[in-house]
Amino acid sequence: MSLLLSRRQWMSAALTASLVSMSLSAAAEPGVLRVAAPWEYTSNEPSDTGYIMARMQIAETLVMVEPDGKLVGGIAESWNVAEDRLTWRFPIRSGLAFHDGTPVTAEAAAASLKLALAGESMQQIPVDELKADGNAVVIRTKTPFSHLPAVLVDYASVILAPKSYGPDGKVVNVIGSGPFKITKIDGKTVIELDRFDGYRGGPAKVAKARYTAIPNGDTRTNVAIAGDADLIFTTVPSATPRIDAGGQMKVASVTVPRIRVMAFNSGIPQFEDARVRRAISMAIDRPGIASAVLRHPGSASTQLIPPVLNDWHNKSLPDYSRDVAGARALLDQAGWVQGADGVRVRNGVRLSAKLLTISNRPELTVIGQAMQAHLKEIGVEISVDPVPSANIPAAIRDGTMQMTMFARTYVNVPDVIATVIPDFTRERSTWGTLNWPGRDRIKALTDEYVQSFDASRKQALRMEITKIIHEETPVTAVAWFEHTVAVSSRVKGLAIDPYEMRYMLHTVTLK
Amino acid sequence: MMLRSPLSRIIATRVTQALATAFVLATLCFAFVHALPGDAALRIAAARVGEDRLTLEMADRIRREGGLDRPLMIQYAQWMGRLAQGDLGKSLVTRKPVLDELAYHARFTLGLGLVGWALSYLIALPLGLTAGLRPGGAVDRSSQGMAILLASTPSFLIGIVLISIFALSLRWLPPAGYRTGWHMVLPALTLALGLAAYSVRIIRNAVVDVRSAFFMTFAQIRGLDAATAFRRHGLRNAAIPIVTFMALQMSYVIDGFVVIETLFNYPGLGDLLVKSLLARDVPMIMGAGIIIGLMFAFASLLADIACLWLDPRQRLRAAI
Amino acid sequence: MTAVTTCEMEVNPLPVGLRTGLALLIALAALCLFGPWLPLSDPISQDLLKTLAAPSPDHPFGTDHLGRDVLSRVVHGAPRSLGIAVVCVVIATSVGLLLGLIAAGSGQLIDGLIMRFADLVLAFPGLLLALLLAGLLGGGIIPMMIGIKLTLWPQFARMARATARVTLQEGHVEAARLAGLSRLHILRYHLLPPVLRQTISLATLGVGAAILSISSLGFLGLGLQPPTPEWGAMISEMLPYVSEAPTQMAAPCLMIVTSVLAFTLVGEGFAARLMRAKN
Repeated sequence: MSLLLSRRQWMSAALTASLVSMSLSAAAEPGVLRVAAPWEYTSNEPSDTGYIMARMQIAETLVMVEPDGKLVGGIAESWNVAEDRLTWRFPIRSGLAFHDGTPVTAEAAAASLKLALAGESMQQIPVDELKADGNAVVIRTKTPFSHLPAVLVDYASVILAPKSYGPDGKVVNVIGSGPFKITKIDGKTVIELDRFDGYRGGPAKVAKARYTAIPNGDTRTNVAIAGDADLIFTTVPSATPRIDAGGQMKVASVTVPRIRVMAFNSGIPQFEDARVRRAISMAIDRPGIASAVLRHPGSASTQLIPPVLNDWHNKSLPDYSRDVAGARALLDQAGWVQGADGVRVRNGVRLSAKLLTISNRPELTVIGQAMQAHLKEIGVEISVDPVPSANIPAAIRDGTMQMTMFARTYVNVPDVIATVIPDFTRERSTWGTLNWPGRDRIKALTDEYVQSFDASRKQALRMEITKIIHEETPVTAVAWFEHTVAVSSRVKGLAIDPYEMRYMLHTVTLK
Repeated sequence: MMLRSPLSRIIATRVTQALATAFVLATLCFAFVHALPGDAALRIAAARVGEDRLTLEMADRIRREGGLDRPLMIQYAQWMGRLAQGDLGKSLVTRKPVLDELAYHARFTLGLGLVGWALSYLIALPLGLTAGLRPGGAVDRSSQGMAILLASTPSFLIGIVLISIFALSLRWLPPAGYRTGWHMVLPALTLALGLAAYSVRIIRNAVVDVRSAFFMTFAQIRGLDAATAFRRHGLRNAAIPIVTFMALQMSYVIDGFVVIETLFNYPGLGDLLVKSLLARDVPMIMGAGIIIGLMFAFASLLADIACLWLDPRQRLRAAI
Repeated sequence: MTAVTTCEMEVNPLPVGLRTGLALLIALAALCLFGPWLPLSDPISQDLLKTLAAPSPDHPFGTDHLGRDVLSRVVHGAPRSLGIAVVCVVIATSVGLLLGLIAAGSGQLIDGLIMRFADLVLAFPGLLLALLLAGLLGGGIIPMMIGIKLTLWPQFARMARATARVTLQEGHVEAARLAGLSRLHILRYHLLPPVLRQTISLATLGVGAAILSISSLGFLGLGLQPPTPEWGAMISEMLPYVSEAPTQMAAPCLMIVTSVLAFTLVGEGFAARLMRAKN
């Protein structure tokens, strides 16, 4: 009997002990910049999680991009291309060091790049030879490849120290040359960082930083309201008023070249006519969606590329904003007649489709529901089906996709061309068009673009490409993304990079 | 004979059962995952590099490297063969050994589970005992009312209410994460309240039953006062159904973890399993199936041992 | 879980509870049957200009993030949230009772097989099973129902087997057998009544558990497809707006808690009456 009591005592003693050990303060630690973002650090491979290494500024690439879109030297001081338009030289900055103290040499950079090129994400570069030559990395391509510097901004090509790699070429230890170095990795969730005093631009202003992955959007909102972090990237747009009202953090935002797009299967009877696709685009109440669902009226958009990318944004494109009468007229012209139940019919086919949305981007499903109502007005019937994100490329590949909406970034690298080629020039893209006849015209234009080193010709090509895509509407823009950052009152001097390549932590100071 | 002793016999039975359950669970997971529609390799690729970088070529390579293009029976046989050597394989997403991943995440789940479970009895035992010793009293009525109300509330709602009060309004506790002990308080409390809602009533009823039992009357006839009689004879008897129930609570704990870990961004097994499921990380899912099966069996084993220890009659019966 | 609460230890009668529970159940049943015919706005028609509107005579519970009437969505959600739970439990009960009775009446081999299978399913966390099935069959009613049914039937099988085993050894059954009455007669007049008496409380509690599971699945985004109104999904949809629209969030929460409460009170009330009858 006393045994049982002692068990109870033991239990409460154990609990008291654990509570006492908890009493270490949870308050903001001085000198530690607490960063939270949705992405888990799942592996050490730059092709998988290089974006965390690049954003947290642990590792850097040969070429980097400034928030205003200008390409600048990173590990490389500058670059030039030879007369043959094939041979590129990237001289390495002198005096650079990795976090382990070893110098950043051309050999180390070339070795790192070779491993990166073996992965999928950089296979678009037609590499003929890659080598270290004196203090420079030399890349020779098989065919002219004018946007090579932009592609080398790709996070998968971050330069790591030779000691980072195991015997099989896999990364065992992330040793970069950025302003922050890793001191501890806890699971997939937390990375502890110290500033790197030997950084080329001078050491960062904060002594320590911590990266925490919080995949759940509601949880990120709660952390922001409670003020349990200093910078929270990619907060849920609809939660902005709540976060601001919480008084601990303020949400800052900048429009980024990531966009919520709707793509059609241009090969099925419903959508083979460009007029039908345009009518659907014209029926959508984008400002209503932008202010009610996304809570950002400025994000409504009918073209894919936002003005922040001034090279690719095309001011001359017609605006397909809401025009129900115009949309109905287009459908009438295309021969779709309203049936008894209000849905249009042509040759026995109902103007009806299933819209796939991504289940872990809940706002897409909500937008889909809103569009369902808008399209009903012009006699188009859609059903919304939220699916796991990988199901959409699968549905495009096997041709079962009828209509889909997803979020797509056009700056995987700072030149949009690198995303236009896979998305708009293939019969079956990964995230874009399906069975679109206009792909051959785009293909001819992009081929010319890649080989051209003439700035004004390239500008003309860009305008032509965006015009064709806009008018033919194989995909249509719905709303631009806001890159949202909740910022605590401790943080001063934050810059936001619309390319989402870096979190610009090295300029931040903590009060 | 040693092996003949009830304890070792129970352990032997339970271990056999545990292995069988774990094996069947893993096989079921294998069958389920492969019956799932959609392209597993594409899912794995998306989990590795994110949606933006997903390409079909990458999926094809993962299919080749992960052996996902081989016939199902061969994949299954290979997996079983490796399992026989104690190798659970490597995660297709993180490329780390499944065993390491499970060990890492299990630590959090066990920690949170243990604290939540202990906390639930810290709440339930005093309340249940008081209520049971005075059935119909104020404590009994109010605790029963609260318990029924809590048992009727989904755990995510309990969590949301606790977060709103303690993290967002009062700002006493952090709303999510696991870094310090403070981070554990709210998820543990959410779990504990859900558990206590049931255990308060079990404890109360066990106490009421025992108090009215024949041996208690006998003890009182023997001249012991009610309190002493209950301490000497009642507690042990009342503990038996309670201990059995504790083990059954395991299933609530595991279900609760899926929701609670999602809500509190807690890197436990539930979280791992849901994510692996979404990513179609086959070796990971099967490994988790085995671990969950073993955990259940272990809990039942502990309960059996505790019952044996509490109830000498069972020891006798088992020995015959 | 709930199976255990009904096991032989429930004594407290809570007659008030039983009465309250029954009253609530009748109200909920009325809501399910007649609610959809009430003159309310369309539960899926949106008004993006009137999102998150505060309660008003037009919208007594306010509007949600798409400007839909919350009262109407709560009312139309009732037959789905509750109906699915009831159907799940009815099917799980039939399967469970059948298997339990077969186990009780068969030899060791079949009995062992059925009961080990029941143990196995019990060991499998229910929500995870539903998650797996939701992945297997896509979200929606069917996988959800299968998942919940599968996790509920072993309780009924165990209970039916245990009750039947005890009853089979009782004198009146022995007498009936000696009197040459058929197995069907024994089943119909001797076995089923005690089993069914036990079933009522277990099944009502099961409905409560099923409502909780359905709402959890909805909360995790794996339940019914939008825009179908369902309480759990409504809660997770409104969660980002909770401070601006507390009423809209509270309404489905209250409905879930009330209905689980109603089923729990009734289930426990019946269990308590059974216990008293036995004593």
